[in-house]
Amino acid sequence: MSEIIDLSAIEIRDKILTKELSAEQVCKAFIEQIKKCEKYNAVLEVFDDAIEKAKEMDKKISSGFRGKLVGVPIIIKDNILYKGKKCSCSSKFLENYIAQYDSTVIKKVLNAGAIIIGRANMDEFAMGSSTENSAFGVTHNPLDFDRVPGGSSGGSACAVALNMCPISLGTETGGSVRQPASYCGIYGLKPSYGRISRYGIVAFASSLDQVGIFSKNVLDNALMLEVIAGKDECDSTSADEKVEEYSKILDEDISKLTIGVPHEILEMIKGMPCEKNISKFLSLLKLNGIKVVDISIKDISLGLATYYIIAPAEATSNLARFDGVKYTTRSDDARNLQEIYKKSRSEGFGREVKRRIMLGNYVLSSGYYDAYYKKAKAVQHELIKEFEDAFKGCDIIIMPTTIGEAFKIGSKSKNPVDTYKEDIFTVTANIAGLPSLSIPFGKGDNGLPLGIQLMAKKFDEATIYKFAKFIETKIGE
Amino acid sequence: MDIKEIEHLAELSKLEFSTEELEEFSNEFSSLLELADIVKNAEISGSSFINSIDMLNLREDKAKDSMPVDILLENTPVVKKDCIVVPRIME
Repeated sequence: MSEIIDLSAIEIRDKILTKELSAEQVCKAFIEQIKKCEKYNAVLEVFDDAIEKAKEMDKKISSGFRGKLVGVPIIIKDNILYKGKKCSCSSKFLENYIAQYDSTVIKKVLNAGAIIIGRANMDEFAMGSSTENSAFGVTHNPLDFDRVPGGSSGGSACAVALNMCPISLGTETGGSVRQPASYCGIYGLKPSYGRISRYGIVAFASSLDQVGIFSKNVLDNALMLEVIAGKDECDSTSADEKVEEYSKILDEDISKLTIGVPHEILEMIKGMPCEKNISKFLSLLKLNGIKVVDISIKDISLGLATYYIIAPAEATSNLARFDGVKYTTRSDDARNLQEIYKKSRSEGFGREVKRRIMLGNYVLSSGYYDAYYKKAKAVQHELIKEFEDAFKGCDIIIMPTTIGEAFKIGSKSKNPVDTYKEDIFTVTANIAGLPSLSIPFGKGDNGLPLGIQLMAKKFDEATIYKFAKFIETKIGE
Repeated sequence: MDIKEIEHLAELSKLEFSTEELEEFSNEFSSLLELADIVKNAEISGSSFINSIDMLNLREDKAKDSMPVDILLENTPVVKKDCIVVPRIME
């Protein structure tokens, strides 16, 4: 038998159900691995009741309890509320914040029998693409210690890549699951906007935020989505759309699918490290008899700038709640109400968070609102229509996830726009509300992983998973 | 962007900065605005935008119990008799 930590989520579940393994044994093995990987700084806290919960689960299983994630250890990003546990968003401001209720995703994974073993490091308030913006130190790339794991869900991605858990949860606003998945050589799903409840997720940009899933294979990812997806009365933006049993449809025939590649993207990637990888991927698809067609998303190059207007605008409103009055932090030096606001926020927030609040206020302020925010929302509308039109001629759209391999820690810290450019290929799925899965494919010049995104029509995660499964088994490297 | 504009933004943002930090922000903002200006200067065919309210899927408007006050105030920095304490705002 392979080591416990090498097993997939489904293998773990099945071995626990057949009593080949106990939930306690599994939980201890993964916690041991987290300790071994401490230097990567991926996990901020191992929950001290995890082993106890695993023992309880073993008793429940003996009494007949069954669930899709029975005994499977999960790590969650530090912005997902789990009752009674710290949820700091990797910010000094919320360092001592304790969740008073379970987010809907947590309720669902617990109902399915999962054991939540820890919380993962992230860029503060999910603002960043490298996990260098955490108040609790940088997370390192699992394959090259001198490089970033990507971000903002870098801790969750690193944890899966280093076998600290078989599946983890992250969140996405502009690529925060897909980009780290690509840099760490694993799978990362950003579902359709509305697919998963945002109740109990600390908000960054509410019209773009979604919970995302990291895994080492397609099947585990699909299983997790079917557990956590669905309409929730606590989130009015969650959609009343059918949730399929994704894990059971992966082997369905995909030979009739048409794959679209936007020629604007092929133009953009000329000379980029990902160019060769995309060409190779497309050649392999054609060799395997998959129909690949040229499509157009005319305004796709406007995606990044549009994102960096809409996201900070929403962030500035969402983060107004951190005022020194309600949540954990109040400056000791504040003598009046204005000082409570200003000093608490100035002491509690890190540099990147302040930068985005300032940018958000700029694009929303009098005289600039029409030119920036309103115009960005109009571009968003155009992009949504362009994707709808493009999907009339294809089932899946393909793009690189990132420009190239993971970059060196500290190499992009001088100019914030250099880091923002990391999101160039990922932001459009968030702007258009579409599902997108980053799959590991190919390597860069330094031997580090690259990723390719598979996007589909809104709420068509099923087609993405089926196609990803085909690649995993027939083409994958 | 000049320091005065940055100071105004800081005031809107309820943030305080040292003189050095203000200067750094002033320098950084030019590259941030260069990015944002791509949208400002873009020629697009439509001008309508999505109304997020249309996408909402509201639950029935029925009263429900809310979280108990003592639990709601667990993370509040300064509390006295179920109330949040703040400095007085009237002179």
